Amino acid sequence: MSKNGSDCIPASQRVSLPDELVLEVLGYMTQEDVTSLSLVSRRFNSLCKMKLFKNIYVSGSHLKDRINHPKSISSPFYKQYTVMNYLSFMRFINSVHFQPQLIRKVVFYEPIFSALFLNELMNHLPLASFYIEKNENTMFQFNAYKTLDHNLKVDGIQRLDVMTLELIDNPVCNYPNSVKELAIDFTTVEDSIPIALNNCRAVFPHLRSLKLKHVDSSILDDFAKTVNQKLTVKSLSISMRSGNLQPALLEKCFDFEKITRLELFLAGCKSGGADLSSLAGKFPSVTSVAISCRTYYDHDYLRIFQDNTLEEITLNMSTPQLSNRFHSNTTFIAGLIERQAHSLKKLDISMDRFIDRSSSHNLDDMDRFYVSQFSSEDAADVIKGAKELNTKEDHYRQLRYIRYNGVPVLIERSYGEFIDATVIA
Amino acid sequence: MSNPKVIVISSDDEKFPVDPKVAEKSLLMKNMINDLNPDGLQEDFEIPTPNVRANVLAKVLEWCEHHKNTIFPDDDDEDAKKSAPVEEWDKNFLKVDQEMLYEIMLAANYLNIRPLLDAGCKMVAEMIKGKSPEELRRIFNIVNDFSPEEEAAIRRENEWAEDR
Repeated sequence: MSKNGSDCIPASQRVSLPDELVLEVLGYMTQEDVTSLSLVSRRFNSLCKMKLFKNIYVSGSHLKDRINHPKSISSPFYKQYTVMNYLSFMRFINSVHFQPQLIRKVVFYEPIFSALFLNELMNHLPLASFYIEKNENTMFQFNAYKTLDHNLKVDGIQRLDVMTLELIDNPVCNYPNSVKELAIDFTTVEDSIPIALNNCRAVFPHLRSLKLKHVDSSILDDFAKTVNQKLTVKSLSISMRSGNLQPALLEKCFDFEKITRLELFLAGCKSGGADLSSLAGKFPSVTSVAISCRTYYDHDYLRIFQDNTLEEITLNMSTPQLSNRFHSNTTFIAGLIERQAHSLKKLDISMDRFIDRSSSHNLDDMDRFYVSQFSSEDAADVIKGAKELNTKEDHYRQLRYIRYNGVPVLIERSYGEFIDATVIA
Repeated sequence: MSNPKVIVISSDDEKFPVDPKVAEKSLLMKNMINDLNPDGLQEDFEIPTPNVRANVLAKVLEWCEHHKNTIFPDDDDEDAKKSAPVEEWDKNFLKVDQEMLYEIMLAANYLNIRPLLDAGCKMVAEMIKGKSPEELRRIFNIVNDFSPEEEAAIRRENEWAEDR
């Protein structure tokens, strides 16, 4: 390492990092490197344990399929969690070195434990919060869910992802009332099945966030029929797999007043979306919006929000034949920024993220996507500063809107590389 | 008339006059400037940094000067922050001997310059990456204070984290 200096200074006089900073460094290291460092000395061993024990991800046997990269890769996942399988986890918590007070978070992937065991574990780890994560696609997992359902009568779980099948097989009231975030996946529902959405509030009194995945219009219609009191949540997310999102049904099911974050994934909708214009002005509290759909300029969904109320906007456009629609997109974005300029803090626009490169889409056309030129006194500084930002992202195309010294700037990236920064007057 | 400067004073009493914009890269200094000058900076303003030596302070201020216009990503975006590689300029800037790197990190921590501390942490993490415990002891000049039995026990203990 440091050839000049370190050799001639005795170790005791050298500067070393305090524990606080060693822990910071550990945050940037993978599980494998932390494990290696734990063997260096007593001091590092106890520091590394604080990191290794903090967030634990208990994987099922399918983990290898799910995270299919070598374990040493420097992914954020491995920097945040210590991953271990069930058997290791059992050995771990039964070992003499187990320090329950260090554990802050435990995520179970498809748990196979009994409810009794989970309850004991929760008593045993007083500072930890517990999460359950599930895979969602194959029939094999459905069988696993049946055992899981039985085990879910456990207190303390805050986030719950369920398939509708589970809701049908089990009365909803079997679920723990500690749930704050609920996601229901409707992928497997062939015929529409009425689900007592109006029970949600009673079963989950702390519910803040509701996510309805892969619904279609008939499911929402059934929801609307069973609801006798509008459901109040802070965050609402709906992804449509087919049909159109009908504003009247939405209004019947949910109390719009309290919603602060709204996510609509409409790419599966017929004709690329839905006409939500009748909802204009009905979301007074929304500050954060995420919308994914095929065409924006035909239905400008963001017009349903009042001017200068949105702080965060995420748009995912998968526009076919983009080159023909070039001007519509430019006008759309310029208009959007103009309307929300005073409140907007973050704008993310990604386009054709899943574009098929073998098809006739022309990526070069997208490079000229936003070309307006404005100037301002700070422009040179701002653009220089913005150019130095270069976070890698996997999106092909990304526009990010930021405020720098009060000056609004639009930053463009392609394949994660910086392309251009534009100061918006 | 020239604009008022912020004069940062090192532990060994060396004075570094810098633009307020440069000093404000440090949240500590930014808060001091704003709290003690509610009407804006009217005249030169001295800030002592009693635990930062002059040569370290010079480096830290060089970094602040270089990044005075850089917009850093939000603090809450943990994943993006942790996965982003150290920027080339920072990497070269932090190619210093180990003590200097540590002292820069200590100063960045004290002065609350989060992006500089992050870059320093990433440099250290990079030095650790893929090394065996023996190599790590050599690189960081750490004395192995385990007994052979203890070390063997910890190796066994670590197995839970390794097989998955």
